[in-house]
Amino acid sequence: MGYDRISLLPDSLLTQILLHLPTKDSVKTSLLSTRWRNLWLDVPGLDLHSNDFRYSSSAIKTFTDKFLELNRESRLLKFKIKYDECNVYLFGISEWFVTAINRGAQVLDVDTLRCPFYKDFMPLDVYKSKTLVSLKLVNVGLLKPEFVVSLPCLKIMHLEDIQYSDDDGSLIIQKLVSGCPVLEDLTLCRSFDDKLPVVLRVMSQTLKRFCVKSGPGIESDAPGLKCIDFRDDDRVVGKNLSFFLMVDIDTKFNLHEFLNGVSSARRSMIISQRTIMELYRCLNMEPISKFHNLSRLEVSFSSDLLLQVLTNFLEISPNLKYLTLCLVFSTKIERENLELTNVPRCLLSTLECVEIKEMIAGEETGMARVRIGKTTAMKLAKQKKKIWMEVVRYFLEDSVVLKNLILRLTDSDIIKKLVTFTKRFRRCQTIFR
Amino acid sequence: MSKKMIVLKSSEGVSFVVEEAVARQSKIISFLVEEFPDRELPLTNMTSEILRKTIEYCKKHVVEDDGGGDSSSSSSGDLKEWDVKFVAEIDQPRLMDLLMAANYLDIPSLLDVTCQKVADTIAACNDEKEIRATFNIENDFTEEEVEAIRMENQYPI
Repeated sequence: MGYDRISLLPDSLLTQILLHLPTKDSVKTSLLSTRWRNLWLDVPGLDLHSNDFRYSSSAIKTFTDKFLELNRESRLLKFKIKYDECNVYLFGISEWFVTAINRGAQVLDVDTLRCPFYKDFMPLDVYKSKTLVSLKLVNVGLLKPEFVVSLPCLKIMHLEDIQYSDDDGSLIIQKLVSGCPVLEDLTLCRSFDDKLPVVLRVMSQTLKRFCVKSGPGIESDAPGLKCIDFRDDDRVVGKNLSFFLMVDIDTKFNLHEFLNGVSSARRSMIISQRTIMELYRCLNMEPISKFHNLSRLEVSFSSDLLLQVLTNFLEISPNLKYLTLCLVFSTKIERENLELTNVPRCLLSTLECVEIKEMIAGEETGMARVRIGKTTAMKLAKQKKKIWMEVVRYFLEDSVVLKNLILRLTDSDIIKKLVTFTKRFRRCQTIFR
Repeated sequence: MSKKMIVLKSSEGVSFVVEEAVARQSKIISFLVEEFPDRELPLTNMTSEILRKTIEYCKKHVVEDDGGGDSSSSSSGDLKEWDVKFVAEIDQPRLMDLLMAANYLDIPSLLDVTCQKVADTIAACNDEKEIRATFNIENDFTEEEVEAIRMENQYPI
């Protein structure tokens, strides 16, 4: 029988633990024992959800007002709230945010659910905080600040479905970003009616991760950017991206322009199958400058495109060290001839580790797998075997410096064949997972 | 260039030789190293086992300043995954010790993951009875007292 170790922790640590919990769970601990009776009241933060107060629309207000009143003197590190405008009438809610900011909040997280027609406007106080580290706003309104924004500690900013008071909402975003001297992580999720212009400009010296979801266009000028993650149909222009370390692209934006803008910079890249199609088109049109600094590449290929694109891709990445290849098999009948012949530079000098995995088309997008007939299944199995054999042969026979080849597959039939095949190549270690 | 090493001594008197950069993730050690360079640092309230765990964490999280981003195998995503596994493998009393150690040595990120792990364990329980059972907490309330607290809190619990 164990002993009660947790209750022996000092109050300061117990409240720290409770700070990591939603308030509804933190309150629950008051029922545990006398030791825990009032601890939750000393937790320097609130994490509320209006659904927890379903029985009365004013309960959340009474509760929060009382909590804030009781802790009036102490710091409030975290204020998170999710509420449903349609069910909960929260007049004066912005007072809470002002209180939170005045009491040194590091995390402010406001998310109004549903109700797309009316949005609560945030108090102007959110533009001036010496303590805020993370600001997440979903489905609220932002007013135009008539003063200089100053958020000296803000590292993470997430703006989703924001309604901007100004006709030119991009000005508000620019003001916000320029007021954050240490911003590292920026996420912009645009709503269809946010009245933002087609091209949005983001400038930051410190940005490391930048994620954009939906919306027509973004122009970024951020020399320290380490990770970029675009989803949906964006038009992206990369300008000053000299320390770019990682790209994760899954979109149909104008890749050619974008990749030329960043081609001298990145070290690591993740590319989806959808993007590959677009990229393949680009490569055929005119040459893209080579990715001399690219050392790590993760890429998904549909098996019918593999032939044409794989070698092209290796060709423009002369210093590639690590390659992760995801073979996406589809039930479509594929072309018959499959042979990889071209040997690009990286295979001769730098490529040390290749990892190959497989996926059935549809899994990637989460679509339900289509029922397939027996003949199609057999054809698919045959196709899979053929492609696996060829790709493995290609890397084992043609690459000179390869140390590790990691194969992730489940089909025992193919594994058997590959095991006998790979034994011929002793200089490279082949690992089945 | 050889890396500077420092020596940390556990409550049982076992010495651990650690790279300075690794140990400096602790703000306390960082301070002590500057005040008392070239001295062995005694950590009398930490057992060897907990000290070893703490060092393991710090080694994983040390930011190597070699100018390259691709040399390290751990991206931020990998690191998070590693953290989850790291705290999942520790039993409850030791997790509390590690939490205390993170607090004492002032390693904010370790304090954060250990607190999060305890919080997750609490959140996974359906009611206060299950929390008590999970942490061996003895109930010193009567049924009536529990009901009274429930009413008083104004929160639907």
